[in-house]
Amino acid sequence: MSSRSSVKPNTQRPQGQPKSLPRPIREIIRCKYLYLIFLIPFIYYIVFQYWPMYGILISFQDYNVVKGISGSPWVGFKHFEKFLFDDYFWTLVRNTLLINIYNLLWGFPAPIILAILLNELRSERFKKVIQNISYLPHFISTVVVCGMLVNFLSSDGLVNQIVKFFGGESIQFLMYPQYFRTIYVASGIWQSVGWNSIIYLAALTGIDAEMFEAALIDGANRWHRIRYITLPSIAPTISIMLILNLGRLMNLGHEKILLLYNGSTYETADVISTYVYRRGLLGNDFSYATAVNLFQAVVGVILVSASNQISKKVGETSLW
Amino acid sequence: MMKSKLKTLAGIIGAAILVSGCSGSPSSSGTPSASGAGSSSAAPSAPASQSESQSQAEGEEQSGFRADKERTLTVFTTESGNQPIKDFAPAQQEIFRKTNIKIEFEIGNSDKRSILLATNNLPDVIRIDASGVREYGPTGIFTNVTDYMNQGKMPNLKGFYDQIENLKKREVDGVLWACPMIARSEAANGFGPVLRADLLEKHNIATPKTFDELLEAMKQLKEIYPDSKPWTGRKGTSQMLKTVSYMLGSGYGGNGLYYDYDLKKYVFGPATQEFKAVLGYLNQAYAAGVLDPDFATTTGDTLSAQMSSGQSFLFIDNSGFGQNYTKTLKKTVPDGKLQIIPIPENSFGQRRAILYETVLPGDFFAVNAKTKDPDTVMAFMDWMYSQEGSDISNYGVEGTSFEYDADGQPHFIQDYIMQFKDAEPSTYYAVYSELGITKLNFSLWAANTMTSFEIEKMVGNWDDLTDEYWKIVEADDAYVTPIIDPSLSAEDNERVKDLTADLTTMLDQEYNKYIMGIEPIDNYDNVIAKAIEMGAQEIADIYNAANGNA
Amino acid sequence: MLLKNRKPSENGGIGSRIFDFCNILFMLCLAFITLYPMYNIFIVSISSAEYIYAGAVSFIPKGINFDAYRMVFKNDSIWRSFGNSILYTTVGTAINVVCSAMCAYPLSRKDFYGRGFFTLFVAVTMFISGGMIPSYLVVNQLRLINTMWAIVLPGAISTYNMIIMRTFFQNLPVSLQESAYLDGANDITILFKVVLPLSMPIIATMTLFYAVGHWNSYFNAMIYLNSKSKFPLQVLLREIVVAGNMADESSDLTSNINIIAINFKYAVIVITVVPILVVYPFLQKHFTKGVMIGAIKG
Repeated sequence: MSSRSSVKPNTQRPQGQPKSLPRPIREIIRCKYLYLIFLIPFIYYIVFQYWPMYGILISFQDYNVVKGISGSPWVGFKHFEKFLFDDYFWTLVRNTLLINIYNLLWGFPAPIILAILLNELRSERFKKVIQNISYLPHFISTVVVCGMLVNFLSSDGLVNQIVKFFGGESIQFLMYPQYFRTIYVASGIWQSVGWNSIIYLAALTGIDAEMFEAALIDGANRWHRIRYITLPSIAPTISIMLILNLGRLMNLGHEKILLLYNGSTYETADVISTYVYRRGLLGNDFSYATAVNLFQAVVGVILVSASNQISKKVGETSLW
Repeated sequence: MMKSKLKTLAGIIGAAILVSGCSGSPSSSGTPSASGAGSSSAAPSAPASQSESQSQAEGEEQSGFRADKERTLTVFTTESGNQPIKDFAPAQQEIFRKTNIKIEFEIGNSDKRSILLATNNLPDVIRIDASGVREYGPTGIFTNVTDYMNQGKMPNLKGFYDQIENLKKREVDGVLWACPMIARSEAANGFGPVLRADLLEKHNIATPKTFDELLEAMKQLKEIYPDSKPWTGRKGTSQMLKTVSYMLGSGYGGNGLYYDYDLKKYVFGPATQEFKAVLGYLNQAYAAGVLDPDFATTTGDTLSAQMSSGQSFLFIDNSGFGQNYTKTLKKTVPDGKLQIIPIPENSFGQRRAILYETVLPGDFFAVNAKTKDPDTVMAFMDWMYSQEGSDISNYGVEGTSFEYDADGQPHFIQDYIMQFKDAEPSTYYAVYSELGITKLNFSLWAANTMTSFEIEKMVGNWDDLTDEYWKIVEADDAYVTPIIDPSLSAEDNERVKDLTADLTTMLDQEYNKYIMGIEPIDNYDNVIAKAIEMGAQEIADIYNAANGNA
Repeated sequence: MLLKNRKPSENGGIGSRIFDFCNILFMLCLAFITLYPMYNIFIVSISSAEYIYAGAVSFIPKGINFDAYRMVFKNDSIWRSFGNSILYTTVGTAINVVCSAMCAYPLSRKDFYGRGFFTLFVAVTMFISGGMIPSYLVVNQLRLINTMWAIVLPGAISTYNMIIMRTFFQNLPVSLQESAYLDGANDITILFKVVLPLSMPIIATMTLFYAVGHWNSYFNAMIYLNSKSKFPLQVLLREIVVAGNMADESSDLTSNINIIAINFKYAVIVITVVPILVVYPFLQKHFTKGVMIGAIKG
């Protein structure tokens, strides 16, 4: 959008400012109100985000409860080695990445498409109702959703009844590794497509209504409107969401997988977080868990920086 | 070492009477042991002197312990959905009245407990399990209970300690780091096969005496009811293996390791030939359509739903569940009946099963090492082991919820109980929750089943089925009482953890293949070899060494 | 942005009608599959146990009764938690939205000195965190344990949401802000008087995201609150619904199985979701109203 550019520096800057001050200080004084606004968020980040980061140190220690972080013995990269040189490490990384990539391929575009289609509905009322309904699964806890899934996918569940109706053989979907990713990703879309579309719908309402009217007068057809007005106006939101999602490729929560997997499907379903969870059941190992988290964080930062770089080059959106 | 369940029970009750005898019943004046403890230790807040001054204040009543000034004791505990914990319930009020100690609960789940422990941010008292004590005890964040016991400041606990041999196994390097919960005459049951007795009768199938007959019986039922899933379970494959392996001649404890009572040593079950028999049996059941095809994805809800709706006819798990399921089942099948059978004989000619641990339930209450005035706290904890403390924390308020019979034994008052007749999820849980009592609340000498039996009888829920159930379990000599796992050293523990993590990940992926027949059972030899290569034997050796049976 | 001129009004064309038809059909299917789980939970909550267990309650409630709801309404602790949830959600969301806007606005301004650095400073926290132990220690050191602040402050800004907000601010036309400057307004006035009023869609979205986040969250409450009287609804719900399925095995007769009736569990879920369903339409107004950005000028 051509109108997007920065607010011009305040031209009515107080006159008394000596020009001899070094540039940073001059700049800070110029932005003093912005800094004032930013102060509270800044304090928040320092106190609740940066202060606890010293906890990362325990990944290089054998954490001892009584001695605490300051007194626990240092062990270098012991926990990282234990994780990274485990034979099973690559299986975990592969599974984590693959599930996330499938999720990105299918789960990421879904809410965008839904938002666009919703936007194309003629009846405002119908649109509202559908929107309302589509986000309902978001409010049901994962445990309950997975309980339903296990039911639907059981040997005499809804899905198999349909399969049998069309003359197929009943399959225990949750017992074979080849179905796991599909189940995980598809159910994820079901759970969140409506909810995730909200963000794009909000971006769509920002579109200048005049633009649509102008397009109508110009006789643009639907596809053109979507192609030339709707999509470009939500493009910044899409890029940002994509960058953020790319940064999370190595992270995948354990709760839903724990509820859906079993020994038979470890081959595709066992991911980093579930493995760490199972280890945790054998006894708390804070140092190990922190080391794994740090590994994921480093990968995340690398991925997000890379994708941000690409996004900067390709489009004009960037995270920083 | 086969001990009959009856003997066990008698033993516990005997121990209980002995201990209660030595600690004195609440109606008798004074508690000699407690005052003895007080005089032997010159601690300023010795419980005995307090109890005397208190007796003057209260006039008629005399309590074994009373703090000299009012004190709040924060107690962290987890909560069961069945029995919500209430703030300052009648039992806690009564405890406060008697001892000047005001219990304030902090409720949380296991995540919260880990964080409290890891940050060494404990309340005065924290509820913890055996592995937690093993892990955190040696760090020194808890008060050393053994010291207090040896100084004579915890006579009631000492009484139990001298009675119950197994308590020594709860020590880590010879120290008891937390106050163990001791069961107050608990009924014992265990894993066992529970089946639809009414259907066997209806179709003239004899009660199975062997596991092969059990399978045959289920096959017959499957033929009659082709849509059924005769045998189901809960929590997937590992729970299935946990519950049936020992009966079938092998074993599968938490992560594969189990104690074999016939061999008298620890064995890593899945790495043995006997385990092939277990998988083979499950495979036969699966192939015949007897085992639920979704056995690997079952949950607690699956089991409840399928048993109480009559879709399944057999489960092998905590046999006590049968009665709950029967109640719902009767709504659709009026003469439906889920009853346990005596443990059938396995292919090795053995009849064997393990009871739940019922003397030391595995719950502990650890006292924060940094707690203020630890002498008072420990004296209070000891009071909780006394007859008086236990009566209040398991029966509530004398005169309101319970009264003593001629023998000085507490019993619930019928009128009080009847108020909760139709309460959910059950009368006894509602009573427990309202009063703030029993095992799932804060009690050190804690009741659970026996009190529930008493309540069930009062409200008329105790039926023939229940009676029959306990008789069958009691009469079955196949059950052994469990031993308690030894404590491992920190290095051994670390080693076992590393080995187990990899082993279980490998093995978990194999079991279902053999049960479902994707792999022929003979190939399991490869898995055994691989498991041994990955350290299965080493785990067993570590445990055997720690247990002193090398 | 300009549109190239195309064929005259295709709006009512046959292609467009087919599109509309398919679109509506698709929406109806979507509505069905997303409505179903909630519908199922509701009908189970009013059916009786024997039908539920027999798997007979899929589309139509059977053995209709409202006992489960009667039990829920009788339960004092549920009501108390309900009140707590409302309190935490309201206070928390207010803090969230204000703080996020205050963070997002400076970062959206290209002339904000140090913008690149601060954005990085903020973005890093999405990936790197100290973990539960130090976070607990910090909250403890600030003496917030067992207070409402322990729930609303540590998550005052969700960086993820804040970045979405920043992206929205960046896309606002700058002309209005420029003219406000010329009128002598400072950045603070501009934020509250010019930017925020133009940003109602994103404010509504954020309010919804944060509010639902608070409403659904249980972990922080579980960790940071000690007294049961302060627990929000989700902590209770979790105990009631989840306990039986995920609880660790405790080895005894009764306590290792959750015997709470399934219809009671589901009734609690319904009760938990209702407030969100009630509040949503009020926020939805702001999404669909749209902002006539061009028209406000002046």
